[in-house]
Amino acid sequence: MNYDKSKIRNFSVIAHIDHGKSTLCDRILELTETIQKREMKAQILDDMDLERERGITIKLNAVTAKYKADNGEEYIFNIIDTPGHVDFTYEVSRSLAACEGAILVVDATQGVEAQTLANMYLAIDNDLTIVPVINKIDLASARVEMCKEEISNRIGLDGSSSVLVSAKTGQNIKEVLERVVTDIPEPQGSNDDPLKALIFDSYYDSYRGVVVLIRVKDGCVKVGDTIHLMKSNCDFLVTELGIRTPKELQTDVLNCGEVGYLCAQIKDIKQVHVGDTITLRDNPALLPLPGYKKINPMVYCGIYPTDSKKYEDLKEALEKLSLNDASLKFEAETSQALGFGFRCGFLGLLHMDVIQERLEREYNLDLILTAPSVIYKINLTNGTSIDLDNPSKMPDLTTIKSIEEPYVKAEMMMPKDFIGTVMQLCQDRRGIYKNLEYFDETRMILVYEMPLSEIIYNFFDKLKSFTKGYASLDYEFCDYKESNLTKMDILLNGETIDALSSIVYKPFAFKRGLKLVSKLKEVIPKQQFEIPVQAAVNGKIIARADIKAMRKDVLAKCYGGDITRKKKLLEKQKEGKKRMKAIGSVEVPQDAFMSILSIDDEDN
Amino acid sequence: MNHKINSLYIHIPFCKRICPYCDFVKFIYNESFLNQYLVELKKDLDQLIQKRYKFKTIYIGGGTPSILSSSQICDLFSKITPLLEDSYEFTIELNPENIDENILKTLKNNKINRISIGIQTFNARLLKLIDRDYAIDIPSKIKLAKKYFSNINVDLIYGILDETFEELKHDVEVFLKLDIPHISTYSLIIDGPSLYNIKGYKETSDEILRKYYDYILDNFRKNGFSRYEVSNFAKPGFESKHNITYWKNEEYIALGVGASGYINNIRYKNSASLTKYIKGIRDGVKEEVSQKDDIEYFLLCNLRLQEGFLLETFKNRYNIDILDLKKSEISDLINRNLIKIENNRLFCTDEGIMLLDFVLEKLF
Repeated sequence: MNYDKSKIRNFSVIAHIDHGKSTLCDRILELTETIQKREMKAQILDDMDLERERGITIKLNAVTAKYKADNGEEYIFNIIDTPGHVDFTYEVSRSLAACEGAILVVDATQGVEAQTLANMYLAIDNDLTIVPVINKIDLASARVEMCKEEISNRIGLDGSSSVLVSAKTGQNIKEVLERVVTDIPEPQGSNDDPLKALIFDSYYDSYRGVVVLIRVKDGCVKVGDTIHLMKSNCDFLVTELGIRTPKELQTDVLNCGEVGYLCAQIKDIKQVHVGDTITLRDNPALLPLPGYKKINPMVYCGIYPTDSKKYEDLKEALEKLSLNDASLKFEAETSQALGFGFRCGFLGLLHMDVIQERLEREYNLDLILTAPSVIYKINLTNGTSIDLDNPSKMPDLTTIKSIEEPYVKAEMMMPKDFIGTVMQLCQDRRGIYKNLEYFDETRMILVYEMPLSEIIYNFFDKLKSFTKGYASLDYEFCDYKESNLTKMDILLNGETIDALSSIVYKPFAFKRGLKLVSKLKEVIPKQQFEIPVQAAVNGKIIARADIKAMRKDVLAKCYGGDITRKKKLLEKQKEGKKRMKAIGSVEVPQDAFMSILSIDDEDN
Repeated sequence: MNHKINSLYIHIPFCKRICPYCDFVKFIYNESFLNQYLVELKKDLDQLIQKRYKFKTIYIGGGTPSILSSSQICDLFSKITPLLEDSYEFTIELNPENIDENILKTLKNNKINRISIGIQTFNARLLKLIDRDYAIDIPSKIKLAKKYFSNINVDLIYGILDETFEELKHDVEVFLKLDIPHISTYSLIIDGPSLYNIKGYKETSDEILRKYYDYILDNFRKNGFSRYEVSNFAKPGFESKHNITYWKNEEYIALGVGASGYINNIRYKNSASLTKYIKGIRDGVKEEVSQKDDIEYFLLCNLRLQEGFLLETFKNRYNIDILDLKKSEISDLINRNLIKIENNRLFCTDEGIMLLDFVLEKLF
């Protein structure tokens, strides 16, 4: 391929979940004949099964495609995909930073959604040129005019310039490509400047080490160059360069404006940070590209195998997953109740869910996860402070001067009728009111600062149910604030179960304790003996519920025809109990450890 | 000649009225359907005769087999009695309202030597609740039956919806007075396609059922019965041989709509479609039993018996010692005092029998 910067178009596709981003990408790849139709698995960019199943994109990806435009010229399109969830805002912003433009996809039946808006702000923040596209116009319920208006009023783009398409049928996709050529600018910069390449993704390959996806912003990089990663402050020798079509195509050089991959025998993915700048050791850039943020896990939980013999398997699985996921952190820990396991850090709850599912599905592990916790800053009386990611490890109360917890800025968009109830919810969750404004005539954006611990404590589900599913939520860390917190322990049969300890806001402790013990009573099956479940704060019992003894667990009638049915029933029950962990003589199901998340503060 | 199968079950799926708790395959009585059904049943029996089957036990259940007229009984039984071995147990289920001299005589003359009477309860209030004929004088019906048969079972249901402890005590007392050598006692199960289930009725709580059951167990034991299976009590020598075939996980053949059998490593259930059956179509569901499945069936059946099973029997059947196969599970269950091993037998304790599902889940 001959290098001509004026013929390069780097862009991203922004859409709300289910608005048809991946289908649109598929159509573009078909039309540019990047992929033959028969090779296409539906939605090629989402290449993990899990993503395809959940309809969300977790892992970023980039594809290079050739397009012969109506003006007779051939263009190179680099399409950079973005993950679509609140946990991955930073990754989205970095992949947008690798582009000059973005296609905004709006579902003609749904209109502009809050999440679309959040990503649009990121795009505008990165000075991208936006091509609005209204999708699903083939559907009877499509409301094209309304969408155009929303694009004009809410985003401030010219809605009337929207391309009307159906990604499903392929209608008008070519027009989208033409608009990419005419509207989105060519990359800036020059091959003569010192190298600045933006890292927007990476993954691990067992033969080549870390494969880094980059966008060259200035200068160029060649095989054999010694590169310098400016944030990690380490050097590597480039062994391979290429583009992905999505099949890898090796090249000797990646020029200014190009997007491709780079291999340099990097063994540890933790050395490669999304947002970092690659330059050359011998001709370095003075300053790195702007926008780099070190991202830290926000949510921690313990992960334990139900079968303690599977500890090594779990370790291996986590190691493998973390090769590809720099934001997954884990370290060994021991719980009296659960045995040997790992304390794992995640970007958010979705990230946690995804890792759990992958461990269970791809590595065939049965796991117990403890309730997620945020990181508390414990200021000790001796003047030092510690970061606490596991409630059961809380130091002795007499040594604690104060406890701080992370707060986030939470932005919620919803129809205005729900504002009252949602504000009440936020107040109940210790939110600090920040702002309320109209988004359009019917919807409002409410901004609160809230403790992250309250957000992970089934806030999103509550928000959805309070607003009949209409509200959306976006949040980002703001700062640590001192709070009136204490540790709440749970005792089963008189013994403290470390894995069930949690940190609670003191004034809520009594109510939560009561709710939690009755929830545990519900989820822990009856045992041979009566089991008291108690909640304790500072050694004092604040709530109790008793799990009654199992008195009868046998089907009275069992003759010829019942036998098969009976066996099936038992098998099903057995399957259900697989995820139980024997703690002393009590069998505790995996749900129990998460029950703190599902108890309902609002009901009485 | 086929390998030896000891037991045959024959299903008569017709009832004059449908009990609201019943989840068996059953149809409202219809003379014409019944006649066609019997024609087909006889064809199946003919096949067994041709193949020279001989059974130690035959059981006719329902539905309501006692709705058959004397002539229908004589006609049908002409195809059944040739299948009996010299020494046999031949049982039929009877509803109390069908008991009279005529039917008892007919059955006796047709080689029946055990009858099972579905009393359910003597309590008129509860009989009304379960939509049974409550105007009959049950004790006098039993008296009559005893003139013809000594090997009699009655079914008693406890925990019927809001049955009180006093009501239960009274039922137990009346029953013991009847001086019958066998009783099957069930808690009312609300499950499957029964009217109660459809209406959303709930079963009595486990605590209450356990209390009622313990009362029954105590009083029956005091009166010379042994609880030889979870729900079955007998005076010595009156255990149901037919049902023991099921509980020892041994093979049996089943004829009729919706009936289940077990032969040649296959558990099958005949189609529940009456129209198919009377058209001569015999289909249904088959499950081939793997060794693992069979071990589970073995445990689920045998542990229902008070005597459990001989370790030797297990070993001979599966070429493995269960004490090796389920070592840690067995020692856990012994520690919990739910099972015992004595005289080379593995069996449930009294507590273990009440928590049998828990025990089995551990062993599966």
